[in-house]
Amino acid sequence: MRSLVGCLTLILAALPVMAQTLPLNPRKPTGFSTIEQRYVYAPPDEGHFEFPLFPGSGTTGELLIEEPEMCNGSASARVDYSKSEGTVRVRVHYDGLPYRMSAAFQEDRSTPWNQFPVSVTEGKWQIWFVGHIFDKYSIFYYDALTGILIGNEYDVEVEDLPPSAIPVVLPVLHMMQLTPHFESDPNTLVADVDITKDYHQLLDAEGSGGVFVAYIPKQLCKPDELTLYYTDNGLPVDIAMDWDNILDSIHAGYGFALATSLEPDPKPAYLKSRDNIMIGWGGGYPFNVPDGYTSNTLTGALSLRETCETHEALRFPPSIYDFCGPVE
Amino acid sequence: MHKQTKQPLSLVFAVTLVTSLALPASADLGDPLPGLTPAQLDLWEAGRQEFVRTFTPAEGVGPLMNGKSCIDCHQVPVDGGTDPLITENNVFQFGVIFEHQFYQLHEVGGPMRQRMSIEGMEGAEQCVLAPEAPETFVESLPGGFISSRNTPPLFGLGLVDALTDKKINAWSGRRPWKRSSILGVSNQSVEVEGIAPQLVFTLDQVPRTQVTGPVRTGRFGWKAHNSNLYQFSLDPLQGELGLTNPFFHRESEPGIGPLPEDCLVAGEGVNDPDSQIAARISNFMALTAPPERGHVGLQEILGEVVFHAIGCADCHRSSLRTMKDYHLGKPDGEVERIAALSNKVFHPYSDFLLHDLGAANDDQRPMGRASGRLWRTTPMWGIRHKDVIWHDGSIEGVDVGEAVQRHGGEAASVRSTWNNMGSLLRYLVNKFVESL
Repeated sequence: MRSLVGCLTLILAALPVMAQTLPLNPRKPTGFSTIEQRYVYAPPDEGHFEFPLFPGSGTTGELLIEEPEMCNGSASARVDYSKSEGTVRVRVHYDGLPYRMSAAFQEDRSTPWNQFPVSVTEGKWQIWFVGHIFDKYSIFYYDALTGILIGNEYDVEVEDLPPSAIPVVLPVLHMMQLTPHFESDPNTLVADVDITKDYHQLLDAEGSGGVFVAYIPKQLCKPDELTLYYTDNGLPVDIAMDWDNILDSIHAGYGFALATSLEPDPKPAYLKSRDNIMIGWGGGYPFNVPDGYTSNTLTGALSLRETCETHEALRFPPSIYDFCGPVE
Repeated sequence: MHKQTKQPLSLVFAVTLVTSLALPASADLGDPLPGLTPAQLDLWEAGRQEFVRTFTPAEGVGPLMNGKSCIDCHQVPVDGGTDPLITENNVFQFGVIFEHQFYQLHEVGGPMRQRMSIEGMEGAEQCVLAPEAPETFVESLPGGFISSRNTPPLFGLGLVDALTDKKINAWSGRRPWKRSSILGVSNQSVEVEGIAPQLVFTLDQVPRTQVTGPVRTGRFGWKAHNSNLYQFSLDPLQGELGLTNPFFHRESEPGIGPLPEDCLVAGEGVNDPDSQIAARISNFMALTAPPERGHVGLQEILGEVVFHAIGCADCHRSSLRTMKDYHLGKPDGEVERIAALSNKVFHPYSDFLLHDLGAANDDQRPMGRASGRLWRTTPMWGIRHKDVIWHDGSIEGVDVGEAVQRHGGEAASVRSTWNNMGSLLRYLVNKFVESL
């Protein structure tokens, strides 16, 4: 009989396997190229890099904002960092940033864990600084009796958890709001942002350590059916991002990104530390999506951009597996 | 309507003269690069010995594989070339696309088919193992597909390895010197030196590693999914020969259930534990000379002018320069600057970027950032040595006209220009291509 017990047995059985030593020699990626004998991307401690942003850069389940003025425009970012000066400076230039635009989902995208606005009227923009793209891990609690996700370690009080709660460690994206609300010049649709942060403690505009974002199972019985999850209320400052670690993450191949979200103004309390899932300009470093292409939000595979219109990204597909399914 | 000819014809002509007439003296096909030191020639020879070596089951070949030696697939017209059986020995990738996501079908031996097993070979007399035959059911699955790949030649790849990422990416996206429909995007993969193996959670409880490391611009393989020659050795050694290494350490599996114990004749652990075989083979590929240009007369020169003028060279880029100092990783773990690969201009007729070739070329197999319709611009150097062309080897001979007709997507406008062009101009382009 396939049951939740079976599912948990599977996970527990996997643990010793996952813990065993592989026939490998794990080592930390250095980012130093053997062939070129230098740092090809983002040298440590001091340096800068530039990259373009492209329209509709969101991910699965988000609203991808692609307006004609964006597809005919351009945007770019430059990051300068200096360990000796203790600074990380981010400059972004937009030429084609919609002014006080409105947008709406066809239905409410809120989940049992996060609330999102269905629509935004005459919204403003915020930039999100994505320093760790799933190279960090955090504990999520699930109810072992039902398999249902309870919440992240930073959203729940351990003493309030039911006795049947179990911890599961899962990868998270760590980002923070880089800017308060801003908007473009209504006549030119041009906007410029120039912000400097502390090299070793990258705090968001609210003074918190940012937010974790995860794509995780909402139900352990269906481990391959994912939901978008945000931590609420801002992370503690003692786990704020450090630019040294972000450089390590770039060297390890995870990369760095910026995203620009359309936000309600004023921003509701539930969105205080996280972004609204309506995304306009965005881009990554070191690799990006060149002008003319668009990225599949589920797979990352590229294809030619054949349309330019705001649309909802693909949603997560339903589960293939159901470990708690009925007896056949 | 955009202008068809972006570059002044005089400039095109000048570039053509440089690429056609100023070619450095080269070597015979399959020979080492001219200008190597004696020690570097030794590296090339040691690599060549590995390349032509026939591995036994006791040495780790199989249990499932596509060959027992690199030259089983790379020997026409010389070692390092293409496949003696042309399309019969194509490699098959297979999988399922479900709800826009790609599933590699590990459970049934995916995503690459191996057509041979060690059954009955010396040292594996007790092994009973049928090779995979996914065609029988994969295509019947909803979203199931099979992608056929022809064996590419491996000449001159050190020059490609010696391109900086910046050099390749400088040609990507919309550029003023290209037609407006021609874009191009780089693929990406890791530089193996920096791999940090990490366990990945899978439902079948088999520990798998995720290859992570410094991300570099891809340039090798049909979808530019390998960024350097070392990885381009490690990967096929495991996938094609079954010779596992620390980076690709899983044996290919026959399907549901484990490999039979009687077929695991090479003992515990990976077959190439120090990756020495892979390192030597990557040295061989790096230090093998590029194909020498064939006869270049007036017709070929004029043909290249037309080739540039109608937009073929927007993707099939004629000239590239390697990095100032290229360092080859050697089997002993040291690196050595290779003067013969440093700061050299070469003529691959490729930009090493991915381009959308249209719906007719959608093989559905994503690799990295390359979706089914995106293929790396195939280098055209040495094309005159091929018996078949196109990614699946489906065009017999160097049939330029047929190849042009197969170019859709970004290249559709170039195809249209070709179709409206006179037979004399087509003849000249043919002559040029046949000289490569």
